[in-house]
Amino acid sequence: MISLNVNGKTYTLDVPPDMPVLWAIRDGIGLTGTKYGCGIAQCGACTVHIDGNAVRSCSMPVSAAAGKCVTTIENIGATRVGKATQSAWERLDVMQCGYCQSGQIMSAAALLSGNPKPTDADIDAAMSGNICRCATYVRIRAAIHEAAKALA
Amino acid sequence: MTTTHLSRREFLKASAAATAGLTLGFYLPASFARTADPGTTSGSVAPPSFAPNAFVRIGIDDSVTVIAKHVEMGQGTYTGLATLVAEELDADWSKVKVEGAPANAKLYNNLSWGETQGTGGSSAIANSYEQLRKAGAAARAMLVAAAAHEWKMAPEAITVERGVVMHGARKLSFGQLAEKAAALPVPTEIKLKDPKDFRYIGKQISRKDSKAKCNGSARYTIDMKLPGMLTAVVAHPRGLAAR
Amino acid sequence: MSQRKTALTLLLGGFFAFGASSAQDVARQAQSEKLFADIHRVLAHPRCLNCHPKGDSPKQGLDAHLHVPPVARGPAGKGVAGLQCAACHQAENYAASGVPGAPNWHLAPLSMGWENKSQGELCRVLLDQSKNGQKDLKAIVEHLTRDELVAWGWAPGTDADGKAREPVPIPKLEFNRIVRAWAKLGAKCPK
Repeated sequence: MISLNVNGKTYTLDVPPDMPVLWAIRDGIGLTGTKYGCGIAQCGACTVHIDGNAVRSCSMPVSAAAGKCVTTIENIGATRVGKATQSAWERLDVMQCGYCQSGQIMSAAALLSGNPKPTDADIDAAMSGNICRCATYVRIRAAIHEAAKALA
Repeated sequence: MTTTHLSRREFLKASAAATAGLTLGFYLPASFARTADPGTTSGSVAPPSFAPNAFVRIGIDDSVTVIAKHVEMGQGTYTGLATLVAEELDADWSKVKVEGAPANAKLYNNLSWGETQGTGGSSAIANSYEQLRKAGAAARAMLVAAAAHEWKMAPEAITVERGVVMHGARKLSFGQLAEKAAALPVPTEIKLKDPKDFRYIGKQISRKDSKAKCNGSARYTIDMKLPGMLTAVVAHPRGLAAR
Repeated sequence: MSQRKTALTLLLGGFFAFGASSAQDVARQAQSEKLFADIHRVLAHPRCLNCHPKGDSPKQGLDAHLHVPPVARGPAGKGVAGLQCAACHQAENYAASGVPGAPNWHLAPLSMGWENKSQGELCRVLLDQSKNGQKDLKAIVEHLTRDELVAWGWAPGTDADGKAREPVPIPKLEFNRIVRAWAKLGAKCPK
């Protein structure tokens, strides 16, 4: 049995300790906002925050997340940075199909938490692990700048 | 001048199950009751609030729900189809919601493809342009007729703006008129707007699917869970031409 | 013995002694260099070299292609705000994702960028305290033989296709022995 703290709540899950955090969240707890895109840390759709840092949940076993604070897209709006990021995304209608956007928002929020005034180069470096097949990259970048402005 | 004909009997049959609000649509078998919400889990059937094959539903809470017969894949159909309805309806865009239509090739077919319900070939707006505008215009006409009845006056002098029907100082919202309008016959003659009067069509408009896609609540096929559901994964060979 | 004879004897004795120790030194130098050649085989292997780049991005794979997705060094070699190494790399290899892992996964500092260095150049950088993070020889030996991230080179896990990654070419125990022997012989660098 593994005890996970997700979005402020503690869940006890009967899952093998090497199950990726992604599936513990999606299937074990039922929070489906975090998406599966590749399972090999190449797309970023599975991005969550562990103790405030962006982590690809497909690449972390549940055992490594025990005792840490996991935040998913469903609760990122509870933080000032997360809320500003989501608002900017909505205002600019960043998404198209939207499948990658949970991960995009989580990575962007982590970027803005550590670097409140990112340059375009900073955005490139931080967001390169989040792929968007619909190619909304231009609006993603604009939304990050917009959120940074709102947070200033 | 465009016209639409719907017999009163057909209309009343369709809205027999309606609880509150105005429904516009075509004849619908009573057995067809499932709501269009793809996020419903456990396979439970939500009780029908009104006939689900209409293109528009108006609630007593002023909400306008557009039933979208095309699939939203990010290309913006939900927003586009809702725009067509909202334009002719003169709805408040902020109160417009969109729901995906259930599977029904007779009611929700792609008019370019015969009796096939489908999305593709950039055909959604083109085939829906007149159909959905008429659906919105018909609803508007019935709301205006209801107000005219209420205010004991001719409908021609009544205007509609952002979900509010008015004449002079008198105002009634869509929600307030919904039940009365539902009791009226569907008009046989429907006038569509002159494009020069467009408020929504052709203008920058906010997407209807943004919020859900920002907060993890938008549901995708992979998120669906049904009782006894099996999951299939591809068994990849270990290399090229391997067995 | 006369003073001149004593001086001559001492001088000749000195020459012989010097010659003898010089020969010994030459032998030690050769022996040390030979040992370093083996050490170099490990350090220059992609499993080590990929995270000792000249620039700000690690490499990946036996063919040392640019890391995918593109990642950057950041202020402390641990990545940038929003994309740290630890976003993907955990404290252990993870078969489910094929992502390699070891404690404190990070890039070696730029001063320890070994790409395209000769054996001698690499050796001298390794020993340079101003470049190697203030490590003296004892600390260098400790780092090479006991550091957990260094040890990953011998147990690099499986990739996303489930294929085992090729470890460095000399087994760990033998490598450790070679490093200690090289150090004992004066940690000599090839030219």
